[in-house]
This record gives sequence, structure tokens and C-alpha cells, in this order.
Amino acid sequence: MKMRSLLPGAILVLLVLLAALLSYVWTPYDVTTLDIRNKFALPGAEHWLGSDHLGRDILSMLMVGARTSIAVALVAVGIGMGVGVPLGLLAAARAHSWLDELIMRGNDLVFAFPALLIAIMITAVFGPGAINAIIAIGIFNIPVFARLTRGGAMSLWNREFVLAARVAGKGSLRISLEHLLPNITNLLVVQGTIQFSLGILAEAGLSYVGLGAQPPIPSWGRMLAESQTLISLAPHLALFPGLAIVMTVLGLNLLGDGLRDWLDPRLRRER
Amino acid sequence: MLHFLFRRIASLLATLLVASLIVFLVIEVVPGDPASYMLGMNAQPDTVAALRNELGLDQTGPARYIDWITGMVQGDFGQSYTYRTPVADMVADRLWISLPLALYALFLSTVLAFPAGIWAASHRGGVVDTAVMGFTQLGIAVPNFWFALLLVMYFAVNLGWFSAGGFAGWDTGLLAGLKSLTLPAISLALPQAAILTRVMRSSLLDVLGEDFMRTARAKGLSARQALLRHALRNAMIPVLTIMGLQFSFLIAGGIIIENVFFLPGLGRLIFQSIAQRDLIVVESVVMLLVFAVVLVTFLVDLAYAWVDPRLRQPRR
Amino acid sequence: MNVESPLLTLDKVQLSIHQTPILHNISLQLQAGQTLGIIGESGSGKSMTALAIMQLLPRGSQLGGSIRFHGQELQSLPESQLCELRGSDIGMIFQEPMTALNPVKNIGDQVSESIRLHRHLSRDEAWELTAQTLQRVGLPQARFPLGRYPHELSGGQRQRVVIAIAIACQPRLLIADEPTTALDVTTQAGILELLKSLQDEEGLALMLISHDLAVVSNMADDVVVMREGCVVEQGGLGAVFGKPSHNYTRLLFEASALTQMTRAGSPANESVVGMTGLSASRSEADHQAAPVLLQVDELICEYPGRRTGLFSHAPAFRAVDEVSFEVRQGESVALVGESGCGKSTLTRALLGLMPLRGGHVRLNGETLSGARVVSRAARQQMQVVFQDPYGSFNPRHRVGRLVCEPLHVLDTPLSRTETQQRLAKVLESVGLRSSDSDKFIHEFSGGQRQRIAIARSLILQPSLIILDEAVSALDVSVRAQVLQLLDTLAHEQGLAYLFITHDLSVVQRVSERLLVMQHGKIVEQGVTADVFSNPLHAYTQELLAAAPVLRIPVS
Repeated sequence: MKMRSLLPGAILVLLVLLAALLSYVWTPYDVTTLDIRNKFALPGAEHWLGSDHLGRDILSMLMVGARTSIAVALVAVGIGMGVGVPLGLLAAARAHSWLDELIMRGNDLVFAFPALLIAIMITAVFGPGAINAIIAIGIFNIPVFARLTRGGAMSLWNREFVLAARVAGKGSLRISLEHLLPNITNLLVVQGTIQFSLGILAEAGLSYVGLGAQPPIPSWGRMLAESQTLISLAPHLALFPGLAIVMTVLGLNLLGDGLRDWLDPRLRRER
Repeated sequence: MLHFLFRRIASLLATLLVASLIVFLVIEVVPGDPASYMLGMNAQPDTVAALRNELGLDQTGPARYIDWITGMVQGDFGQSYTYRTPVADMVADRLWISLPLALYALFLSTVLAFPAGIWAASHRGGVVDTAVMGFTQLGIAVPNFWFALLLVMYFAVNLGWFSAGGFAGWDTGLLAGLKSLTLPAISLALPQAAILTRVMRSSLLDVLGEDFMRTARAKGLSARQALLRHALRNAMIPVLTIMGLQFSFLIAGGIIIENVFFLPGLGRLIFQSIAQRDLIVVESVVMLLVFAVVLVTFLVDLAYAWVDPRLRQPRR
Repeated sequence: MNVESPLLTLDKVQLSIHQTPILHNISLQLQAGQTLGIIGESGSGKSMTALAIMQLLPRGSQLGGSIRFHGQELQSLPESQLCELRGSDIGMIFQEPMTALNPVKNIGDQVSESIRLHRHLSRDEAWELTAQTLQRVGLPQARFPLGRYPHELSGGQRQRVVIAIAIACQPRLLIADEPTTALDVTTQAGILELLKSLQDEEGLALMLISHDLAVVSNMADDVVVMREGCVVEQGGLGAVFGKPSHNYTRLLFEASALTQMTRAGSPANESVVGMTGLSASRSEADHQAAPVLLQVDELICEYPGRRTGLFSHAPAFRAVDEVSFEVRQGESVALVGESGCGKSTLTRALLGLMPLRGGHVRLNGETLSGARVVSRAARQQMQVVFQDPYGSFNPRHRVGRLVCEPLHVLDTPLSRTETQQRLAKVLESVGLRSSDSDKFIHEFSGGQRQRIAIARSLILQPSLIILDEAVSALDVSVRAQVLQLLDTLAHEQGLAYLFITHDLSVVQRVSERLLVMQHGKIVEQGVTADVFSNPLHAYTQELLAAAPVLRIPVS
């Protein structure tokens, strides 16, 4: 039953990725041209998903918006992993020492600030924008990966194959890289997809309240914000960006679940 | 036990202190001169100087920080520059909306999630389980503000059961107030409930596979009795962690949802203040929210120790 | 022979789980008040048989055949009636006492729950009965208040609580699935004694499942031998043990006997097969002359005390307390102790994994102590084989890489051809093929993995190998093979061994000298045969008295 989620998840994610990539070379319409005469077009032959209050093609905007969502979420995951994983390995290698305590307290501290609050603080001072969204989400990702890595690594430090490596004279750094990291990669990949999907949701939320990518860069969240006042006039404006978000996040979650099951039994077979 | 409490409280205070330092640094120190930032680029030097005086910016950083902290502890959050009213009053008004909303959402999500998770776990692999997993998978993927829009579209615009936004006010009656909060609470609660259901289910499944469950059955307890009397309490431990973590998401979500429904809560206050460059308000509200998150984490820690007696003693 | 019909009858019981056959045609009987021993190695299906009787099989199980208890056919009873039987007519205790109790409930609640489930007693009456039951299993209320939680008890104490839960309602049948396997020797003796006394007092029928023939030989009236889901042989204890008719039974005996103890003064009609003891061919006299390889002087290892207050600490705990001993070249020395005696700490200290508080460790004259950075030459000379054949290897690396890992310690790295040659040689010396170096560790059985572990320890051509409970996790038959291999290797390569173990029977088989450790100190040392025949220290005497001896009755 579980394996069934890998394929649909991968397909959904691939579709979104392709749409985003495709948007660099072609979109049905140019997203910057306004076509007021054709505003509020319903989905049909001319505009496959309809057009908005300024006559812009919704499908094109979704495709370009995909870029924003994916870019923000991806870089944020990169930040989280790039900083969090080494911190976690370090904490595990020096478990129960002052360094470990420090890193753990630091984690708890960041957890006290929801990504939105971090974004609010940054934008209050530096102004809104996609970069600030990336930083805010990225910062929040760091303790997630740090905690996960530390937990995974700590449970492996006591395993006898690590003891054997220590007896052979290998140092912590080498053991962390050679033995621990490959064995927690599974955990990281799965968590990475989860954080990616959370990043998409976070970016959408931030854009919705105006703290994410600014115009003219399209973003799904902002499309939803703009659709709000027109909801009785043109419900499809609110429907499609939301569905795009749901599709992407669902795809990523299914992919994560499927990966977890695909990677895990193989590990179990190896026992 | 006392030792445990001591350490936790010390940890709480330390975190709050460092968090407040961060908030202070980011909002008051980083922009350079908060006064000129607040007034914008075209401000007259006199006005800037006057504001600086008013805000006490002539003092050094550390002194201002101490002032701020001591003020907050006494309940004085400064005065809003835009409205010329004490921030504390503004916050108190808004709190009466944001807090009930958060609690309402928490209540709804728990009431939905726990039975669903338990049901799914006890009928693992069955139709109920598959359905629950399917729904929750969808539930996690839905952005809460979009769900809110859909709810408004259907229940407010179409059916007219609820208003599309705004807050009736508590003085018009408890029920009226709750009615205004219902759609917002539901949209907040949905993704939370989905996550909680999954966590409850997986935690329970883990516990059901433990050795002591086998002992419980060998005693003569039926599967149901064993689940309720033995498994649940142990399964609560990871669920509590997640609930604590989710609280911070609840706050963030609340801020966004207030915007969807035009609820005059803390969320709207923050955004208005950002637009108006009223740093004093932003600073205080952010600090308040951080305090709430840290407090909840602390309470969850205490709840742990109540549930799991192993945690009451210092670890060997 | 009993005139009454048997209390429990299994007739042609078949079990498959998710279409995989587990049990084939199991038929056995148990008379009231008697003890039936079920013997088998891992995979024999003995635990599944017990679960089948309790009707507590995992999901996806298909159970066929007949299971009659006290005249009732259990297969046809509805779940509600089975719940009534469990705990009040049939009790069961399991192997892992550390995880058998609910950690968030106190012991009083857990025992009284059993009572209140089956007897109509008020809370106070049930509580009273709980205290009495715990008293009967050796946990008097004065020392073990009913409000204690499981994590405050030791393994043996927890097992007693589990037994209390099982017998609280005075069942007719108690099924014990490997009840003492996870426990120390002395604790094991206590639990077995308890079971015996309960049986005498209550007329309890006992079904004892174990892989340990010695334990079974001391407790059972009748025996069933299982292998891979089938009953291989069954009958009275005297018949099966005295004259085993099936090949497998004989194999088990030989393997056990090779690792079983004899004691001075054992009656002439108790024989142990094959105790020629290859190690006996290397006489102690030879070794007196050999140079000292490992010298340990007044070794002290401590763990910092835990926090008792905001600023105070409890005094440091001394795990290894002024331990001194030596191992000569080519000698085989065993270090025996129960859990908590400090032997694991000692091992880590010798391997340089733990800082020393005091004393010295010298290998070939070179001091190892005080340095986290042990010299490479020293590391070469001393290698280790760990207990867990599953956990001691990184599951993602191939065998070749795993076995060659120690080579990185060499000052001048070997060339590829040299590495390949050494690898092939070492694999062959443990009975594997050089082609096995391309496989992953999960493709091998437990015994084979230990061989690979031994190969890994040999690749640097050391003089001393430390074996940390290296055979404890293996099945009896496999254990005998691995011990044989170790013997051969020692012979061929002049290796010295330091065997760290809690199992006295292994000790007698493999070592010439013996060290007994308790509470961080070496309480007795000497030639193995001497210590066994004439133990001087009280603790050694206790250990020897507690260890089950395989009695083979002569009919």
C-alpha cells in the first residue's frame, strides 16, 4: 500500500517542475502584458484556465509562479541542510558536552520564532521580498535538520561498527563522514522533501500577506490575495492557484512517504 | 521533582532573555536609527530629533534594552507612535480575539484528530484507516488561508450562514462572537487536525507493537481494553511534542487567517504597524508571541513529566 | 503415567503467517502439575507455539489443528472467552523483562489489574492480594512499595513482577518463553528456583521454552525438541537426554556439551560428550615461559557522578577499581563477570575508547594508558571482536571494505595487490571464500558474520584479540563451530585471547586462565580448571553454584 504513493508523488512533482522549467522558454501568454478587454475570462479555449482582473492568463502566471515557489522552498531547504546537518553531526560527535548543549539551546531558540515571525522581523527592517522570505524559511529549517541529524547520528555512535572504526583509530570527523552520514541519508532525504513541501506552503503564506516576492514577480500566494476581493465575481481566480499549491505539496508529501518506504525496506533487507 | 522544575524554569527564563535580545537587536539596532526609519526619508531633522528624544534613543543600547525589559515585565509596552496609545492597551484588545481563536482552533483540531487517529490505528489496514490516511494527506497539503477562502465562498457568499469577515464583538454575546470565529477556527484547525491525526496514529501503532502490550493481552485484556488502558498514555508522549511544536505554526497561521477574515486581532495589528513603520508596536507584539510559544513549550515539558514518570528523575 | 487426560494437548497444529509456513504438525501434551521443556534454536518456532496456545498470534496468521486446554478446544472459543482464560487459567511470561512492563504505570497497578480483571474483589482486597503476590515472588512490600515504577527495578526484579502478574490468579498452566535468557547467571538461578517453588506450592503445570539444554535438564519432566517449525523428538527427559534418537538432538547435545561445564564431584553417571578440550593441548606450563603481552596495573576508570542538586554532584562512580592482570603470548584468558561488574568499561579502556583515571596498560612493553591517541603499532597488535554480529558492521559497505578497515592504521599503506592477498588469506582462514568480499553483510547468517568479524580482527596480524561476548548472541550449534575456529586459529597463529564473557560454560571450554570480576574488582584469578574445582572467593562460588549444569541421566 505504501509503495503506491511513490509513483503518483513523483509524477505530480515532476509535472510542477516541468511547468516551472518550461516557463523559461514558453508560456501560453506573456505574464506582463495586460489585456483588460479579456479580463475575467472563464476557462476555455483561449485561456485554458481563464484570465484575471487585468486580463493576464492564469495558466501562464501559475507556471511562472511555480518558479518562485520552487526556488524559495529549494534554497530554504538548502540553507537548512547546509547549516543544520553539520551542526547536528557536530553536536552528536560531542554529545552531552557544552557544545552539544549550546547547539541544542540554539535550536530551541530558533524554534521559538515561527518562520512567519522571523519574516515579519526581517521585513519590518529590510522591507519585503523573495530573498527575505528565503532567509526566514531557511533559518527556520536549520534546527529541524540539526535536531534530526543529531538524533540519527547519536543513535549510531553506540553501534558496534562505529566502535570498531574508533578502535581502528579513526577520528570523529572521519567517522561522521564515512559511517554516520551515509546511514542517515535516508532520514535526510525524506525530511528534505517534507521541508520542501512546508517551504512551498510557507512561501505561499508569506506572499499572501505581502511579505514574499514582490510584483511584478508572480507568486501563487499573491494571486490568491488578489483574488480575495473578487471572489464572488470570479471564483476561478481563487481556485486555480490554490489547486496548484495543493498539487505541489501533495506530490511532495507522497514522494516523501514513498521514498521513506522505498529506502527503508532495503535497509531492513540489509539486516 | 523539584530539581526538574528548577531546571525547566531556568531554561525558560534563559530562552526568553536571549529571544528578547534578538528581537531588540533586529528591530532597534539593525535599522541603524529607528527614529529616521520610522519617519521615512523625507522627515525634517527637527522631527527626527524630537522622536529620538521621545523614544529615549539618546541612551546607549544596553540601557535601552534594560528599560524595555523592565518595562515589559511591569506591563508597560511603550506607546504606539501612530496612535499615541499605550501598546499594552492595543494588545489587550486584540488579544481577546487572537487567543480565543487559537484555543478554538486547538480544541477543534484535537476533538477531530484524537478519535480519528485512534480509530485508524485500531483498524490498521482497513477501509477506515485508508480513508483517514487519504483525507489527512490532503489536509496537510491545503494552505489554511486558501481553505478559508473556499469556506467563505461556500458558507458565507453562497449559503449565507456566516459573514464573510469581520468580528461581531464579544459585547453582542458569546455565541455571536464564537460564530464570527467559527470559519476562521475551522480553517486554522484543518491542517493541524490532519497532522495530529497522523501523529496520533503512528505513535499509537508504535506503542501497540511494544512488548508490554503483549503482557497486557496475556493478562486477559481485550485488544480494546489494552489499547485504552495501556497504549494511549504512552502514545501521548510524542503527540504532546508535536502539539507543542504545532503551537508556533498555529500562531503563524492565526496571523494569516486574521487577514483573510478581517479580524481585528494581533495579526492585523502587526501588519498595520509594519505598513505604518511603527516599530514599537511590532517589537512588542513579536516579543509577546515569542513568549507565548516558549511558554507553551515549557508547559508541554511539564506535561511530559506528568505522563512519563521516567522523566521526573534526573537522567543517570 | 497419569490416569487423567492431559491438561494441554496440541494436535497437528499448523501455522502460517502471510502464507509463509511457520509450524508443521506440532503435537505435544502436558500433564497437570508437570513441566514440559521445549528446546530449540532460533527459527525453531518454539515461541510461535506458545503464542498459538495463548491465541495471541500476529496479524495475518492462519492457525490449523487442535489445541485443547482442560477439555476445551481453544480454536473454537470466541475472543471474549479467551480473554477470560488468559491470565486466570493460563499465564505467560516472556523473554525481555526490561520491556515487558508498562513504563508509565507502577507495579502495584499492573499486578492488581490482572487480579481485578478476573476476580470480583474490591480495590482494597485486590491491593492486599497484590502485595501478597509480590511477596510470593520475592518482592516484599517493605523493600518494594507498590508505587514503584518499572524503571526503578533491575531486570531480575522486573521479571519477578511479570511472574507475579502471570500467577496472581493462580492459573493451572504457566508458559515461560525464554524467561531467563536475558538475565545474569545468578539472577537466572533465582528465577528458576522461584518457578520451581511456585510449581510445588500450587501444582502449576509449567511449559518452559529455552534454547539452553542445561536449564531444561534441571527443570523438565518431559521434553520436546523443535527445529524449523517441526517437532523433531519428544519424550521423557531421561529418554530424550539419555538416548537421543534424532540426529539433530544429538547435534545439539554435542554442541552444548562442548560448551558445558563439568564440576568436581559430578556423579559418574553424568557424562559430558567430547570434553577433550582442544585448549587442553596447550598446557599452562608452556605459557609460563612465554613473554608478557598485555600488562594491566592498578587500572582505574570512573564515570562522573550525576547531578544531585543545582551545583553538587554525587561522587564519581568507579567502574574499574584497581584492576591488575596480565596476558602472556599465546595464552587464552577469560574475564568473567555479570552485568554491571565493569567488564565492558574495562574493555573500552583497553581499546583506548575510554580515559583512564589511574593505572597503566602496557602492550608489549609499550604504555598505552593516558592517551586518547594510542600508538599505531599498539593498535596493530591488539584487535577486537564484538558481540553483535548484526550491529558491528556498517550495512552499506561491502565485506571486503569492512574487513580491510583496520588496515588504515598502518604507517605505510599496503599496495592493492598486498591488500587483496591479505584479504583473501584472512577470509579463507575463517572458512569463507575470497569471493565473499564482494557481498553485503546482510547476505550472511549470524555465525558467518562473526567469522567475518574474526577475519577483520586478523587482518593486521595481531598478537592479542579481545573477544567481547563474541559468541553470546549465537545459537548453540553455531557457537560451538565458532569456538572451534578460534581454537584452530590460536593454534596456527599463536594468538593470545582475552575472552570477556558472562557465560561460565564458554569459559571452561576456551580458556586456560580465568579472572572473576565483581563490582569493578578482580576477586579471583587462576588456572581455569583449578578455579572451577576449588573456587576460593564467595562470589566465584556463588557463580559456579548458580550456573546450570547439563545433567544427562543414565536410565
